[in-house]
Amino acid sequence: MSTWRAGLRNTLLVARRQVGAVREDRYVIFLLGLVIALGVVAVLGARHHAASEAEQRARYQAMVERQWLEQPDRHPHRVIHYGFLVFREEAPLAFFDPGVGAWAGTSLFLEGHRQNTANFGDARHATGMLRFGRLTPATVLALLLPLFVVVAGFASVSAERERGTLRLLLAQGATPAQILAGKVLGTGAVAALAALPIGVAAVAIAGSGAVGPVSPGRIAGLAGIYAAYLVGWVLLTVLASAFRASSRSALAQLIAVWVVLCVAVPRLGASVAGALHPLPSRAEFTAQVERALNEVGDSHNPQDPFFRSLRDEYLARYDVGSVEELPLNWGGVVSREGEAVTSRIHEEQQQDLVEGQRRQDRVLSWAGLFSPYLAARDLSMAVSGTGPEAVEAFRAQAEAHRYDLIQRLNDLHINEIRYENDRAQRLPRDSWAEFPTFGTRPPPLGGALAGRTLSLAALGLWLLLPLLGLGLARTRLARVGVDRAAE
Amino acid sequence: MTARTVLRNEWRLLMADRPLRIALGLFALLLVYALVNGVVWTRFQERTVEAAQAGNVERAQALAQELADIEAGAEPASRFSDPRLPNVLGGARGRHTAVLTPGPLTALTVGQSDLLPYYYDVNIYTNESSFQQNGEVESPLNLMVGRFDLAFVVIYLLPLLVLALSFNVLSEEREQGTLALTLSQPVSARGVVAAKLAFRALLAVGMVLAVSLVGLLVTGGFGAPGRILLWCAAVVAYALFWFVLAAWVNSLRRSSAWNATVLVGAWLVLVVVLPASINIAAGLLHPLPSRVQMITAQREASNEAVNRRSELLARYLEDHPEMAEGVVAEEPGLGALAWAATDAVNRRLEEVTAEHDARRAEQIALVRRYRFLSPALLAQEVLLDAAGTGDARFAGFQSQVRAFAERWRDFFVPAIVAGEQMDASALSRVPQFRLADEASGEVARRAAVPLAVLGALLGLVAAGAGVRLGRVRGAT
Repeated sequence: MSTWRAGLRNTLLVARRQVGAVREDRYVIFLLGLVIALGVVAVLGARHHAASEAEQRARYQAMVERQWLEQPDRHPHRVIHYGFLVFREEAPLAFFDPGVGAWAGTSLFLEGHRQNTANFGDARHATGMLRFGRLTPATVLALLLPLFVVVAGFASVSAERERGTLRLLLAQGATPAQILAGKVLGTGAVAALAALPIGVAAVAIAGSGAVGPVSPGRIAGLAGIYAAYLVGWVLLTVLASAFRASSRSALAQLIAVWVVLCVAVPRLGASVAGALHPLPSRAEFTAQVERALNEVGDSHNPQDPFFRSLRDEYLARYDVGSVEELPLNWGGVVSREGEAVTSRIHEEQQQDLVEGQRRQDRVLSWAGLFSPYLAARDLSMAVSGTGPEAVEAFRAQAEAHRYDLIQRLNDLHINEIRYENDRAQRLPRDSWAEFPTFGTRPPPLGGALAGRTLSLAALGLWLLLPLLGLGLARTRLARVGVDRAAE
Repeated sequence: MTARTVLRNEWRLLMADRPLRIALGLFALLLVYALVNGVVWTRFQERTVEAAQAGNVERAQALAQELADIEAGAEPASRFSDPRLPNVLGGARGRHTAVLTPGPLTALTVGQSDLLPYYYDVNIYTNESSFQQNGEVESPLNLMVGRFDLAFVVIYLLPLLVLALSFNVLSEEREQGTLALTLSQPVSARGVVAAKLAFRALLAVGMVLAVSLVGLLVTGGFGAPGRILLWCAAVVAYALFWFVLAAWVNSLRRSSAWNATVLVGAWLVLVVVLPASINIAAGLLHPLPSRVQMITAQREASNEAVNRRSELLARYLEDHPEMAEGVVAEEPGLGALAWAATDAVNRRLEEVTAEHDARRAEQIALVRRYRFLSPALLAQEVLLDAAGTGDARFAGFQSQVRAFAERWRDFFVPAIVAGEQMDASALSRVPQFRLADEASGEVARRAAVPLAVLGALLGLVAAGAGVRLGRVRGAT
């Protein structure tokens, strides 16, 4: 019991020494202030940006809904072409991590006969400067804080050795494990000090409900991800400091590691993904859809074999000689069946495309094994509800809404409009009130995380490997640099 | 010491440093990989453009054949797709794809070419909302992460190599005690640092330029020597900026470790933090006008127009008296009515879009002032512009397509309004899109300001370093 207590006391002593050393370093204190300032600016800036976007989208969505309801008496097929416009709502936590939001379309026009793609991504509208990224709370935590950790901790052990105090500590009975643990604790405490204001500000905004309801699970998830990610950096920094020959080489190596992991590997991963799973060009994709549609038939052409056999089937079912005698509106039936077929084909093609994009994203997940930055960002997007799957969920929900809307209108056409003198008839305006409204439902947290076992594993590995390194090499602590000092 | 012996000695010294050797080798590999990436992307775009152009020819041939058959007495397949109708011949079936050929240096700088559309289908229904289509069907995640092209290596990684090569040009000599010895010879500290940095610059910049030239050889991009010069100028100026920054930091006579920390800090601020902060500040200080508002305004415009068709037709004929002859006064044709509505929508869309674009241009002009804060932003602008993958070339393409769509409408609309049919002879006179690519001079004019500012920054830091290094004596 007493040795356990002595161990703890030694560890805390070393940790306190480390915090003290950092406090005396004006450069690190300056950087701490800078990181905190950047983080707070990022939180407030991102919050403002997200709020104004959300407000606009909500306002115009309400306007589109009002316009829908204010339609005059109309023929249902006219309404099919009038269509409906939906806007992608960003997840409440988009202010923290906007994910791919800026790079995906925000508005989608829903109409009959075709599936449009979401247009008006933020990036399309900005300039090439946006390629440098935006300062968001997630960027500060994932990209800048690791560098701060490196600067705060690269000398943690090596400076003790260079000053000769490491031997003193060992002679006083502190074990290598206790010294390393103390350094990890001390550096971790400094890192936490830098990360905390950002976290507190973000939680305060999320908790105030100003951005929409945020579940505590998501906040806890984000806290866990970034804590694990930063602890990994602390461990790696102390490892380098303890086992490189000098502070200088530890710093050089850690910065090189940061450049590789946070700057180079993500882009390498993205380009490898593009090379391994090339996507068709937009023109090719459109042509593919057209070809697939042409194979089925043309609903505007009465001689088309598909629609001829459909007509024969209906004539036989109702035992009549011509479409005029059918108890329902044949024009509406053609429209409904045509919609069913074209929607299915569009959806199949779209699924192929989405599958191609997913394959690329999976390559990036694998790249996450080599870059904890990628893994942390991937998980962060998933938990914030701003990843590629959120964009796809919006598309799928909008398509489901579109299909339902169009087929309801076709049913009105079939049942409420007579076949003869079809075009001259109108449905009363109150018919438009009976349609469901649209709202984006973000993918559930569990589902978003379930597809990301690879990134979770990568983050685990990121914690485990430096820990293992520290554990295995701790006995060598006293000998590092000894040969060199003897020279 | 002749120049050759200095260079040979420097080379030996650099190669004796193992981490530096590894860094140089790695940098060379990354350069080659980035180039391969750029070439693959260029080929993809070239194939897409070729396919689009082939599609134009195929469609025209198929329509010509069909028109010839009908003339010979065959029945059209359906009355909705009868190619004699001007709204079919000039509509989706007869559409013309206007393409922007990849920028001559796309292999070096992918730039905005993976985001912005480089081809548009033009037909009589093309209007402002047609320009809202997206570029390629890229995964948004890939777009966000960005491409690993030469421009990325130059902007992000080249400065780091430069710093690794030169953070201790002077401080190391002092730390090893060789400075006094060196300066006892008839050379100045300024001369020594200049010679060392010149050698390192030759090495680093030479690698980048050599790989760039290989890229141009592979993709045949020598057609635009002006652009190549601008690209090289931007690379050289940007790299030299980092070299002279290192020289200046060395002239402060602090330790090598201090130099390294400060220089890496400068890189972090100028390349990562400042651009990202500017991007977030831009949204707060100069928000772009609401796109959502524009879409809803466009939608309102089209609905209003459809509801007032006949009234609009009257006004259209008033504005275009030359078309009134073809329209039978008492019973305007269906095509004419529909066209009147389409035209009204187009006009309204143009108004709404022009207003939106003007406000957007204002905001972007304000945001672009901030690029003078970071050499990385300046260099990126010139690298993209020179490669023909910057915002300006795409905007120019779009306005050319806009003008082309206007010509296209002018060709078909009179026949639509008059209710006339067209024949094979009309098909041969259909407008074709010819890209008038921007001249090198125009690109150079745009790049002049950022390049000049980059040059001025470089000169300023170099002068500061020169003055301070002039005071360094061996004895200190």
